[in-house]
Amino acid sequence: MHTTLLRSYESQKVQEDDCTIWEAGRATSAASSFFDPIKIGQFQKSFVDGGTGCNNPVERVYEEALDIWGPDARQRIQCMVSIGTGQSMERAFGTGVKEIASTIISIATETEQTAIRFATLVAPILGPSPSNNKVYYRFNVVKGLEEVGLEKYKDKARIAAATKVYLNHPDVLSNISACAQAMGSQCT
Amino acid sequence: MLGRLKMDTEDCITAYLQISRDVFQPKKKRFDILGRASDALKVRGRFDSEALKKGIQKIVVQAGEDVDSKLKAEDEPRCRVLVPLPPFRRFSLTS
Repeated sequence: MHTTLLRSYESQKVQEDDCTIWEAGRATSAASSFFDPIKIGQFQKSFVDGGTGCNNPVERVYEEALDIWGPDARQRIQCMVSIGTGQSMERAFGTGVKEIASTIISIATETEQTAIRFATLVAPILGPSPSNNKVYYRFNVVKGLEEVGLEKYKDKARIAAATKVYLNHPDVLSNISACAQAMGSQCT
Repeated sequence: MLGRLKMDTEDCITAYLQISRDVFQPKKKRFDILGRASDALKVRGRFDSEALKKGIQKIVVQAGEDVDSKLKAEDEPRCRVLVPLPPFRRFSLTS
């Protein structure tokens, strides 16, 4: 069981076969019991959701940066933004099926644990030293999306409302403006 | 959508609203217990995979790409896109 990465760019790593944009979208959406398995590329490799695993790819992204920029990557990364899909989705499916529910709990837990581990171990060593500017920004709606599952498109007003409440929190507001500044500085 | 198709955030939100409405229609009615059980056994999805495929293709075309455009951009892209797939397992029941 391992995570497969599809890329829109050349990499030193041995690549998956060329797939189309729609195949990539379809394969990454093969979430637990939502869609059929899919076979992609020249060799028709099969992708079935295997439950929990890499649901927060922040560490994979960092590895890619190390591959692309080499040992300099750590200093060269000036801004890293990670956006979550809402915390603790314990009852996201609402099916009452015990296994699915526990899968979702472990996905939510794994996602946040990865975020915390990255913030603790990696984020502090990123960025050009000696500058103390913050590099890693994590945004995730902490309240109000607990019971909104991936398929609940009818709940869009609720999703928007919970997101606005989160975005207007003073800590989040100041994080956003710091993040915007970090992004803007590298465009000049 | 942002990186490979270079869509702006407004267009992305519009596309999400559209595709989620088209795709998340249950295939089997709630009372169709047998049908749902057989889906679970055969690892078929609860939602229409074909609708998802069509939905993504529509977004791709609207963004000015060919319906079967490759994920890999022709020139070295300014914005690199990395798509992590869920951990997969070999599966024989469906093949």
